[in-house]
Amino acid sequence: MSAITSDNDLINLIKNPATVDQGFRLLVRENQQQLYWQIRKLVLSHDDADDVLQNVFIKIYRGLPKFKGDSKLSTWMFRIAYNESMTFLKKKSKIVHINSAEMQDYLVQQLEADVYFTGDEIQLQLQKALARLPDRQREIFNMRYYDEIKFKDIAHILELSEGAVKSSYHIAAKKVESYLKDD
Amino acid sequence: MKKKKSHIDLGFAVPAGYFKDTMDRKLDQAMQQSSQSQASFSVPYHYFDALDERIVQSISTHNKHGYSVPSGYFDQLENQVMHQVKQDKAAITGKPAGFNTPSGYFDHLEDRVVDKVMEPRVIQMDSRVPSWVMPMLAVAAAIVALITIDGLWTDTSMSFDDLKDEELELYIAESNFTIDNDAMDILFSDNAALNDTSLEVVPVDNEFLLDYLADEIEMNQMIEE
Repeated sequence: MSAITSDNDLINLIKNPATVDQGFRLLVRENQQQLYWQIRKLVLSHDDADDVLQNVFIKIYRGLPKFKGDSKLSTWMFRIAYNESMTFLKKKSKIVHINSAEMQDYLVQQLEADVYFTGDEIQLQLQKALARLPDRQREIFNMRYYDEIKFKDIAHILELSEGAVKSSYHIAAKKVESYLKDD
Repeated sequence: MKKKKSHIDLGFAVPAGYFKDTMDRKLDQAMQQSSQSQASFSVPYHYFDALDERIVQSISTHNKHGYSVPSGYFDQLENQVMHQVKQDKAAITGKPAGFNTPSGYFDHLEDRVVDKVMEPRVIQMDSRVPSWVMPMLAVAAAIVALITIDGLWTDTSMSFDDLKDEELELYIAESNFTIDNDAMDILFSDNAALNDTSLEVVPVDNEFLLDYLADEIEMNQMIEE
């Protein structure tokens, strides 16, 4: 993911006490927007995305010394962001005593009054359609539709088979299409 | 089918040569009108005299491959490219349409994150111990502490039963016992709720505990990777 700095250079900077600050700043600078939008697409509200993003960077910072490089740094951070977002939504659901599907409806309702959402009616309808998808399907749809990540890479990030990712995306796309047509 | 009668059959006739003369007249009229309409256009004096030279000159100013660009093309190119780059950058970062951030949000994000992450002393846990063990040990220690200090306080104005399950769940979910000094202060403060030792017989919802452990294990495995 680090287009300017390679994974190894970045990790070496962060692992060296003399350059840890410089290295971590670089990591944040080069990945903040990508991670923010990944999270925002799941939690929808800016304030929630900001909270989750801070936690994600804390977890990245603590986990980096143990990062063995089995996968790309971006993939690893992507997974942390996804898990942290899901954990956040679960906690939020428990607080207001609603299930995951109801939480998504609630989030979309909030979106209509969100000053940081200026989407038109079609974009709002798309969010409503996405809210009706199961968590996994929604995440796969987001990765493919918005981020244009290859199926193979999505499978790697989510630790699923490529076939499972493709079929999930196909089902999700059909559901979204059906919702938009019917509504 | 009965044949339709023509005008001749009906006794009508036209003068000889009528149609030919009429067509000629119409053509003459049209030519005259065309000539009049062209007369309303004009060209600069000696326009056609210099036309061939100007065409040749125009061709010679194009590059050797014969390509040319619209007037002012390169003046606008930089702006157009930068505009496109911004759009592409938005697409690359996966920004969904309609979603915005507060003005200057990303300008200050790096400082905020670094301040939050690097200023407080980060407690490094022993890598041989799975991370989820520590919170559970902390909970167990808190329970032991509660049992131990039973009887030290006489204030019974509030009982542990007064706390709802979801409040306990939320407290455990939101608290990180290993680094949260505030949480530890609350646990060991002169809190009336701590006077009631019924804590050990008020189980936290099993489903929540399983979810909590599953989340922690999942995160731990991921970080270990």
